[in-house]
Amino acid sequence: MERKKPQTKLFKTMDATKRVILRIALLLALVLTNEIASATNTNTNTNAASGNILKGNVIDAETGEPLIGATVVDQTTKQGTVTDINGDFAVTVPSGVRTLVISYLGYETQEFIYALRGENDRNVEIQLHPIAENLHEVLVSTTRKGANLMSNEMGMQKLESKTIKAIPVLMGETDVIKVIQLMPGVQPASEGSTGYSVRGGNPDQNLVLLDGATIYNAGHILGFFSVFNNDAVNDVKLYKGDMPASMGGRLASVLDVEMRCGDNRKFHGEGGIGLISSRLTLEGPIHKGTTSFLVSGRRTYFDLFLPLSGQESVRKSDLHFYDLNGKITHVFNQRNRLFFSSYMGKDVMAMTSASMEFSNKALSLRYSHLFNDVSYVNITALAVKNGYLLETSQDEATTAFWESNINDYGLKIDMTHAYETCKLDYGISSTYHKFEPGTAEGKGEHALIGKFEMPKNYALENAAYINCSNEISERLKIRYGVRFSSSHNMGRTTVFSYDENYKVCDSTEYGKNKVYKSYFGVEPRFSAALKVNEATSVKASYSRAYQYMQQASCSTSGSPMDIWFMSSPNVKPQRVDQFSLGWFHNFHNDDIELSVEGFYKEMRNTIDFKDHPQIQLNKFLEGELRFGSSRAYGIETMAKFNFGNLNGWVNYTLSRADRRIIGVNNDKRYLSPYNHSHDCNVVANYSLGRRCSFSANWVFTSGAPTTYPVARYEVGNTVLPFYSDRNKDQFPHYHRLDLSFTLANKKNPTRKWNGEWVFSIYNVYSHHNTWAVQFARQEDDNHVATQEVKAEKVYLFPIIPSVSYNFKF
Amino acid sequence: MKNIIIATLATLALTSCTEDMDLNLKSAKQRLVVDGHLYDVVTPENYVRLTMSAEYFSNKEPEPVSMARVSVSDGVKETVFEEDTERKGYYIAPEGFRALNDCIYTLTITDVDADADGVSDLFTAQSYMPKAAKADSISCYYDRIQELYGIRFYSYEDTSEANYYMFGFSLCDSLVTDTYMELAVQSDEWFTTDYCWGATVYMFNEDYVNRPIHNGDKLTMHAYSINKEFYDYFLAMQDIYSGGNPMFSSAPANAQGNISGGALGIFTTMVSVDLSCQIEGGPQ
Repeated sequence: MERKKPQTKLFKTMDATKRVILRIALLLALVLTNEIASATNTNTNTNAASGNILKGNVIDAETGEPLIGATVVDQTTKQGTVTDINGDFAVTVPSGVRTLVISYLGYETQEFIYALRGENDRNVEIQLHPIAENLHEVLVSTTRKGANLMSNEMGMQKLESKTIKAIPVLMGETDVIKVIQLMPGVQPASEGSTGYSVRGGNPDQNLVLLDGATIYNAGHILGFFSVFNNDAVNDVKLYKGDMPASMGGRLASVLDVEMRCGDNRKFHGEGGIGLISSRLTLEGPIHKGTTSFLVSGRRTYFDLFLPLSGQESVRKSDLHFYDLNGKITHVFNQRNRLFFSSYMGKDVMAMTSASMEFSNKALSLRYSHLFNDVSYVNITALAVKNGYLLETSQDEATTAFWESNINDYGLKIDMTHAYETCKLDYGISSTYHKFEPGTAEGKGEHALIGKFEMPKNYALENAAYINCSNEISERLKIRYGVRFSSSHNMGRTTVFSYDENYKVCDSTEYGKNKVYKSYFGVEPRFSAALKVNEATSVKASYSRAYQYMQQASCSTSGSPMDIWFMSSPNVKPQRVDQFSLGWFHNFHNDDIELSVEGFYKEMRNTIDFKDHPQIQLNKFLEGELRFGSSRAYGIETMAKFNFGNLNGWVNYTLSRADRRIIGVNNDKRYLSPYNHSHDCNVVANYSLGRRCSFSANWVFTSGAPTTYPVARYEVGNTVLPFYSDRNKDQFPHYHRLDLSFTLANKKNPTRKWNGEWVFSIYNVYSHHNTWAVQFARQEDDNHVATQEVKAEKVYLFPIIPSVSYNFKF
Repeated sequence: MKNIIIATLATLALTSCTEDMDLNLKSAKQRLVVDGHLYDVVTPENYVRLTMSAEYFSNKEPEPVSMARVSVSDGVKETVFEEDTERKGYYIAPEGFRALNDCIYTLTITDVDADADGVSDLFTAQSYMPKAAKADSISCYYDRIQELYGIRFYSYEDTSEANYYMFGFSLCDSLVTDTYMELAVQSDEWFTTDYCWGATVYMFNEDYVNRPIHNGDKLTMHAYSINKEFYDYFLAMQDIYSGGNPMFSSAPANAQGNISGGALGIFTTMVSVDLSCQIEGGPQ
């Protein structure tokens, strides 16, 4: 409760009235926290009176990496808990000699026998050994068998690095986001794209975090490969509906990617050589047992072959990207830890007349402190920079560069009290955004372009939350919480006003740090899980979220040149209310987990763009926006199976997403461009022994909505289409089959170098999936355009075989 | 510059393949299409062309609309355009007609029953004729790396207000850019100097002009000052033509013209200037 000070500090820039309102809201949250904490403390004390608190830390025996979400259960009482983000746990247990069972997916389950006689008399470190044949893992984990029934995080999917590696992907490039796209309700924005839509939402409605830092552009090479180097990834969680109150700022989902900590016991490395890129990860102790490092790099190398070209223009071109991840972890003692993560990645594309660079940088510093057996705090400082630099060099007059950046500086404080039947989280966060939407400047004496600068924007985005997960009984678990969020536009900047025809009618200058517009949101979150019987549960959830940042994009697949912008006097924040209801049933000794989840989302202040918007370097961008409402609803079914050698999942989603925007499509309702009525994914992994495994996935998605012409007309000797209503037509359905085969070295404990070959085929039956439909005017034999127009399907990827070699040493 | 960037991105994007596709498109009711141009000079021709829209895959010349009454007015004087006896649907300005700078012209079309309901319909449109451009000269160069000829444009700039330009060219007096989609447009909203020192506005090669190119050939650039309305219409047309590429195009939508009464197309006025030079620096 001593947290009042930082909250006051964070909101000092608001105007007085808004500050009072927010303080009242925060006070309410703190009172609530006190009430709940008092109630739960009473519970805990009662339990503790008859037992002891055992606390400890679960780590990977080989790497020293903390294992997040490992299950710790007392064998007799069946009471248990899961480890937190640091691998820590605290569990109340009776006195005497007992057995604790610790399990984690992909690791050998361990029984830990202990004897306790007094309170808090034991602090243990438990080491789990990875299962040698990691091919037997369940691909999408829910921590332990049967845990899915009573988890009250609806719509949450967790993936581990090993899981991601097992799934065949494009050109052999292991990709976190491509695997996420195989989950129910998640679809790629277009073929091969790392942009994705969750439950019909826009790609910019997904928050992507790497160790807590926002990644604004998660794609390389115009979005075909994601920025996540799987070798540096520990685990991945996707919240697509009922996101915890600690998370927010986007309407559709949060993708939370956690980087690995380095091994603090011994030095080792791993890497791989593929058709597109090679990668190398090194990790080890800086100070044995307390400080570790991890460095992971990846770089493409097709640019190395360009100098071999016979064409000078190709020889002078460049095309590559790289990623560099780093992490330093320091354990002061069992109570205090420090984590420093960094990421930087860049795309470079250059031709003789132009060059482009797209870059992401993210830094996070997290300090974790354990106050006592049940309470800990995480304090995180964040810095993010995302941007691009373009340069043309055609002639003296038009040689110019064009730069755009977004910078974030943030601070988060997250407090947790983990009691036996209640887990209480609360915290605050504040992020300062600096937007530099675009500056173009000519170069040289005869430059035609001087300096053209879009007005910079500044904003502060704040949040405070409280969340409680309560186990009411063995059959009923509930989670309730609320998030208070706000955004504040700040000077120095120029704000334009628009008339009813979206034309600029006025402009206002605001001085440095002047808060000229604030928005506040109250976001209640609730979920409940009720166990109907040992094999069946039902769950329900409701959540509200606000989104204060959005992306201006004039493409459906997304491009790295898309611009992020804040809510403002002209743009209200988007809001979603989402309701979910689910039925969960396990068969065959929990080897098959079946779930059916229905959802309904109602969104306000939805943003779309007028026809033919001008987005790049447009000072009057807000005049290109149109506003309205949208909705999405559907049913997601999923069956996960794990029969030892054979595991995987099958899912099917039936859904619809549409919107009504004033000023678009004659104000009539139309389908979202990301509406896919039917979506089906089948993923299977079969172990053929200790060295070989075989994986397959099949994807079917009904065609994306599009708009086709219904007539033609001619102006200026040019045949133009006349279009129907927006998104009234549909692309052909999408489907493909991918296969992969992994062959590992013979296991030999004395060998220091272990390698494996991965052979994969993307789109095995070479189905020409429609990426775009274009209407091409035909030419006669003399290459003169005729009146004849033909429809042409554009497809990107026919059958693509690939091979890669992975190694560890 | 935006166009250069987008073209470069498109080139660098992964190679894609195309194949013919059978599509059963819906059809819409026929509409009148207006294609009208007025210049401040006698040549190019001042005309208004009237046709009807057709089914998208009709693959035929558009059906001309004859016997209409077409007139333009500068607010003072109304001029009637007569239908060309040899080219149906073309309504030609009287001999010697040229539009005046800094004027608003109104187009009126009557005696057309576009919706076939037996009643004559009225269509109108207005267009602002920009002030005269201050084009200076052009030069030609050859880029040996890209193996392309380039045309550089020199002009005086009025930076106090936004100006919009359209460019086309002829080679040896033969018009190369004879359709809208071969023309280029440029706004000077980024320009900050009062003289344009040779901005490259066109690049081409023999394949593009469909004929051999020799040093000494006459190159004529047709530079037009256009109004904002036509500039926006032109950008929408470019967007439509780059349409279908999910990476670089927005949702397909119609180009919004300025004709009332539900007709398609555009009526526009523009200042025309021709500048010539000789091809030089070529590979021969």
